[in-house]
Amino acid sequence: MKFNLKYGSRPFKAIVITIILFISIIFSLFLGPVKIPLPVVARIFFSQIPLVGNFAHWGFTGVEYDIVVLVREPVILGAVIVGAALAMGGSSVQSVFRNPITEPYIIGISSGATLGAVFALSTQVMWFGAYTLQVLAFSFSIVVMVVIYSISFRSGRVPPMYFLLSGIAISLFLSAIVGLMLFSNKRLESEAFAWLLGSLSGVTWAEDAVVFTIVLISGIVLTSFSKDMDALQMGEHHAQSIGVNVERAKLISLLVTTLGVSAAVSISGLIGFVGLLMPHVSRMLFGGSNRIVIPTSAVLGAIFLLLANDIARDSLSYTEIPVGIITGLVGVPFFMYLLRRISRGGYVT
Amino acid sequence: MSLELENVNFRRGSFSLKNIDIKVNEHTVLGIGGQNGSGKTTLVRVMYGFLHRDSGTIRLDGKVLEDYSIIDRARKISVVNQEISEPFNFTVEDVVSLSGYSSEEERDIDDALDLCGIGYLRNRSFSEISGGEKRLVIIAAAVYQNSKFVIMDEPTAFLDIDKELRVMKIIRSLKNAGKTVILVMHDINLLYNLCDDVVFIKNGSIVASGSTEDTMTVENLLKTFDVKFKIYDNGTPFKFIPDDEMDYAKIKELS
Repeated sequence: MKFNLKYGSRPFKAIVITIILFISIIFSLFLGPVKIPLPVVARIFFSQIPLVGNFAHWGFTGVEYDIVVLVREPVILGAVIVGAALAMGGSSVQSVFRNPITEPYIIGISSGATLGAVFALSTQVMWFGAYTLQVLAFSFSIVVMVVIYSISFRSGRVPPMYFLLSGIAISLFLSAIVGLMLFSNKRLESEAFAWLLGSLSGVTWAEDAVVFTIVLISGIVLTSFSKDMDALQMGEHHAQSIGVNVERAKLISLLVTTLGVSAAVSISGLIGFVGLLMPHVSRMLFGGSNRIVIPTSAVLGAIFLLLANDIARDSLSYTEIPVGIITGLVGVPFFMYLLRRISRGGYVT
Repeated sequence: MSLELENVNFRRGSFSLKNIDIKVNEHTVLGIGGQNGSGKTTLVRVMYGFLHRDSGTIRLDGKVLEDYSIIDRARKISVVNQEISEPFNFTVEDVVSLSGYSSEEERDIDDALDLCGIGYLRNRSFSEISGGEKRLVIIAAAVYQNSKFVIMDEPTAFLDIDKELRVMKIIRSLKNAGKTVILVMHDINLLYNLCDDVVFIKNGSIVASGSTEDTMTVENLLKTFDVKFKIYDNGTPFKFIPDDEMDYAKIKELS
């Protein structure tokens, strides 16, 4: 591919969204009950970056540094990681199933993670110390995905429609179990409710570090399978005839997506719309090839969730709204607007 | 260099392919004809390994088909499928260059687009172009794949006459370039004009096979299609015309 930095070219647009991401991060670090001036926030942010930091290490107090770095940054970084993971997962799942209205949750991630979280809340087990809920949410969703995959396996292959339908059926079944657990234990309702609506408050650096590593690996593997996923969009016959090992491509894409998205969901709860909408925004801006869609939808997902989380944190002074509510409220009109504005070029047929 | 099917059997549900023996010779065009539902598409899917046969042997260049990895198979055989999917927001260039998946070197897609006469579509959105243009794009993708065997399942379906002629030209130039083409087609006269050898199948079994000259007889066509044909040997490409009297007789019989 020729590298063309002209206004409106793909590399130009990719650079623009990356700059918007950095501006959004600094802006989000600025928001909060303690007012710290924006230039100070920016200096604190850059002071942590190797080499660049030497030039920015002045003009702030230890308290300001602690508020930005220890209180705000983990949450903001969490939003970036979770937003990126959901959007990449959406790109991958939509390609594998050739279905524009799927999102990563459909392969059992949401129902599995919810079951794990509610199980942890209701039994109050402490198998993994302070991170029991996260570990159980993560591992349950992987187990559920593997179960759905296994029952969809028919004479050597997994038909996508069969997988989707099994996924929906198993998810409904698990939702019923979760409903039963909540029904029999009223105390759980508010805690579980918060989890189901998604929230990033209280995310720690330690959680960020683990989830970041998993999401990064998942993103790298997905990007390396981008051609396979492009081919799957052309139909399985076509994909196989051009040399793609269709079943291997589906298995790896879905497994890696599950790893990344489950890790993200384990610290955020269920945040909707990012995984559904951001891949489409990316395709409208950059075309349909996954080599570009996966990394750029990650950046767009990060920006979107970051800003939605800003609204969730700061719109009401006395409480924080679950961010999942904001992504729904903001995301849907935003998407409808984009669909109308950018439907030139045959994206919508 | 050949593709050989020996006593291949395949069954799914109530449909089966029975005792299929076919030898596809190098640098030739083999036509497969038959009624709707006779098993032509199933046969080619078994041929390139998308569907797994229950018994029999398929040899590609002397080696059993399953001994090739999927990617090596794609280096030998490219396929133009009947159905065309709608990917999200791909350009024509995206669709065609995807078929370089099995290729080790980067090649330009221009030659393939030019052969198919669709160079002007290169940067258009694949979902925006017409159905006939889409089919030419898929054919260009198969050409770009640059494999020795090219299987085309109904490449002229839904095409206007101009594009049909273009497809004929593509098939001839593939043959001239040393490729071997396997063609599933309904149009008897196109089969006659394009193919060196033909195979006629009915209800999953071969009714007749051999060189086009020897095999495309009124008797074999009647056996295959249940329609009586007349031969008009007037030097035009339209040699076989359904016999009107026979059709009237059939209609009378039905009514």
